[in-house]
Amino acid sequence: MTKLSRRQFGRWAAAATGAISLGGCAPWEYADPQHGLDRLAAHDGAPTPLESRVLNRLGYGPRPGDLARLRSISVEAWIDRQLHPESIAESPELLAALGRLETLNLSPEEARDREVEWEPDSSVTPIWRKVVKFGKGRRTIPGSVMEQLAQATILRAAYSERALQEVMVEFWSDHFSINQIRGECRWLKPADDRQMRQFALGRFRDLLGASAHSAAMMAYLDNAENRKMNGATGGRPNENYARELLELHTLEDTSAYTLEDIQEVARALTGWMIGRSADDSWGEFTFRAADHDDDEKQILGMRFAAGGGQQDGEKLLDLLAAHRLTARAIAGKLCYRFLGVVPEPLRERLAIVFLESEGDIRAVLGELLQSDEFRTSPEPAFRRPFQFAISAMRALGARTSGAAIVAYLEKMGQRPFGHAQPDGYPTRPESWTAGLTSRWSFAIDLARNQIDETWINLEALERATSGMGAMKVSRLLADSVLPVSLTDEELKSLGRVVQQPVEPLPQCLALLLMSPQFQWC
Amino acid sequence: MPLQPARPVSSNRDRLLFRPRVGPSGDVLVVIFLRGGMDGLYTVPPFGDPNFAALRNSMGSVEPARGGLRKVVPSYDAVASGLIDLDGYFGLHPLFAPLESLFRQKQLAIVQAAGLSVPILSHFEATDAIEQGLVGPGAHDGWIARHLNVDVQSNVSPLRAIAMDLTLPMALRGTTAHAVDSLADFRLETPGGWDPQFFHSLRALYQGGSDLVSTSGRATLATYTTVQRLAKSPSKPENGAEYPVDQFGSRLTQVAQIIKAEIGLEAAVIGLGDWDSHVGQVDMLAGPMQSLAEGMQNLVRDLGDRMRRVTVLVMSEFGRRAAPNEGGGTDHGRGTAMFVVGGGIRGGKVYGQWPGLGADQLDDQGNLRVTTDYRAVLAEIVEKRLNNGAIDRVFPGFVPRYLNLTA
Repeated sequence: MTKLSRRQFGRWAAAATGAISLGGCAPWEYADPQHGLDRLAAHDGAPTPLESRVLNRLGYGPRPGDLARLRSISVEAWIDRQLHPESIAESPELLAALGRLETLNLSPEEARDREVEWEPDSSVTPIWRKVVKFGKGRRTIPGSVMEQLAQATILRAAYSERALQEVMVEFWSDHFSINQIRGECRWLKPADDRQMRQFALGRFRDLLGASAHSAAMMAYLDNAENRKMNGATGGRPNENYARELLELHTLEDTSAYTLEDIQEVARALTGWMIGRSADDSWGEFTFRAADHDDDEKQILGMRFAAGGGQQDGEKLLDLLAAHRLTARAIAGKLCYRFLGVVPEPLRERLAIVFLESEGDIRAVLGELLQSDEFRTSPEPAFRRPFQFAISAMRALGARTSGAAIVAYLEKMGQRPFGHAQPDGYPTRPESWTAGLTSRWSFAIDLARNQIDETWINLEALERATSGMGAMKVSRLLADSVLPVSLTDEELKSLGRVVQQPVEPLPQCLALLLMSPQFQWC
Repeated sequence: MPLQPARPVSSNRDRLLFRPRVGPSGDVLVVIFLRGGMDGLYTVPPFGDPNFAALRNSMGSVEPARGGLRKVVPSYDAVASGLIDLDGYFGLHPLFAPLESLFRQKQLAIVQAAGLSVPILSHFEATDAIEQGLVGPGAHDGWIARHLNVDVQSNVSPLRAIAMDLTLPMALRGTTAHAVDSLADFRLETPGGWDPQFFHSLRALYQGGSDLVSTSGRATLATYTTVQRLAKSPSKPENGAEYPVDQFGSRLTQVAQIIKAEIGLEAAVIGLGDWDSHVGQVDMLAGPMQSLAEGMQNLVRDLGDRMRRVTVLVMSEFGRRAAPNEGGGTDHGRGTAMFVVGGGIRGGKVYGQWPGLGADQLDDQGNLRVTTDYRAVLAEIVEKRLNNGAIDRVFPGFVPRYLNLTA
């Protein structure tokens, strides 16, 4: 292939995917008048700790200009708006960019049929082995259902005005983690994602129910194969989903239940399956009464009378969603996500709000964000790779299609919906800090405009800073990009980079994104 | 252009500087962790146990065949199924055929019915406990980290320990280990004309902080000078070794390259996933089993004589229930098999006391009992092969009874 310039490549890619271009430009090719890099030169000053916390933890970090926007309406109003995403008009550019991802709203069956060619002769191989459009071992195929969902997740995190909503979608995607590369989950996860998005700030029972009925979850944790005990072989129901439902999705405290409880939960969920044959819709939830164990069950000390049918499962989810331990588990995870620590008194208060509001996540978040612990929290929270990459792009006012970002995230260890185990990507910094090279490489590529279909307005920044002294430039950029201030020594060191003959501004921007300070917020 | 002028890593000076304690002990430890819970009854079938066939025949097996795999049902008729008879009682699954010669050459030891001495059937808690070197939750650091921390003087290499992974596994938490996806992670490509000021400024930003990122960043910067040449021009596999063409094979290749470069590596951890076989176990385990067996075989081949001071340990968080479930899979269980390979290992034997598969021999949940605390194997390797007698610091409160599987 002839080597295309970035601009040509953009046009080519847009044409290839049938994208509508704006005045001949793909979306990553034009300057954003509101959040461009030159906006940094306006120098809004450094954020206060609370402003920084609100911009970074209720979203994916400030773009140039966001601090001024926050100040124009106050921290209180900002938080209140973010708690009510339905009241915020979504960015039309984001909606247009999402509109170009044509697989996002496909049904599971449509998604599968787009990527599968059937091999009618092979009668016994599982369906996913019939994928012929995907080479073995290849994870990143441009335009695939999986790729487009990852791309959409990146675009939303980077550009949605409903920033807290996106943070919570990531939170629930970890809580109800599904590894999309696993078998049929490729085509089932988008529907699951739509549900997580719908209930992200809603009621926990709805989230739990959506996950329990999710074909992607049933395929991933094998409930799709959970049948009542077979008299002939003596094979028992499948415990996989039942175990993780208790340990990861609800109660968390493994001393609160026994293996017998897990096995009874598995029995209650026998027959909760995925439609497969011609008479069902493929990839949708279906209850198969013939596979359901309809005898009496005892779960966590509660009797489930015989003959409950599908209601066994619904009753079980009611029980778990309203459980004191579930409330504590969710409260603790939210504390860690928003504070970087888990203060026990706050956790207790949030658990009480959870129980009294019947699992209203918005109410729990409201309590958390109003709390003294959040307002005065001095603890830095660690930016995992996804948060790092999105925050970096936002800090530099980057325009992106998201397509090339997926591979960088994969390299950093946090491709959207790619965690191998069902416990979600690790949250603690110890898991992530042993490898920094991939982050640093991303920072350098981003600051130099070396990432495909991704662009920062370096020319505008150059114009805006021309004639300024090196120290002034480095202070200006550091104040805007970093959540905390640098020491004079560190600023001096940055200033020396700004005086370099080769790419001084990219060098300075890269260093800011690579700095220890940027890895926390 | 590289960050700093490359320094030859295999110079005598480097070797002297970084060489770990060498000799018959002071091995390089390579831990392959099979994530998800590996079924030791399937991989190392106890076909001599009178209850085995009744429990497992319905599940079937597979064996290599022309053009792929052939399903074998019923499976555990040793003659009909291609099962490898190790000692008249235990076998190797046909897909583990590449391991047979290691066993016959007495380089491979197998420990059956090993695991946590208390029942923990959660992946996450069992993995944490095992990687922490405990019987339950409690520590914040890993057993390999504590082993390395016993002596922080002798080996000043910045590359004492690595995880070939994108995140750091618990076993290495508490020491400056690096989590790398590939050797390329030991290089930072910077554009022409950026050095040396860019590099000076980066160091300056990482100089003072005591947070985890700053500490780790300094360690990362230190590896660049040591490993750069290796990352740029890695050595080729030797002795005709051909690693499996997958992520596991590639990670083994790179561990071998680091070992051969003699830059002070003492421990490497590689994860291999997809052992959580709740459904369709026969199909599901075929891939990971082939990868593991071929990978180990070729690692040993590639390292050749160097295996005299390398110990490879293969372990998992738990085994599987003795009876399969309704979906042709197995749920979480207890006792499972461990594999130990090395020049200093008394191989060719299946170690451990066999608890039996009878209804009265399994635990009350139908699991194979654990008769060897996994730490007995680890502790023996730490003391006899890694030359570290401070077992009480690596495994606090544990008094091991060694199986004597080291030479």
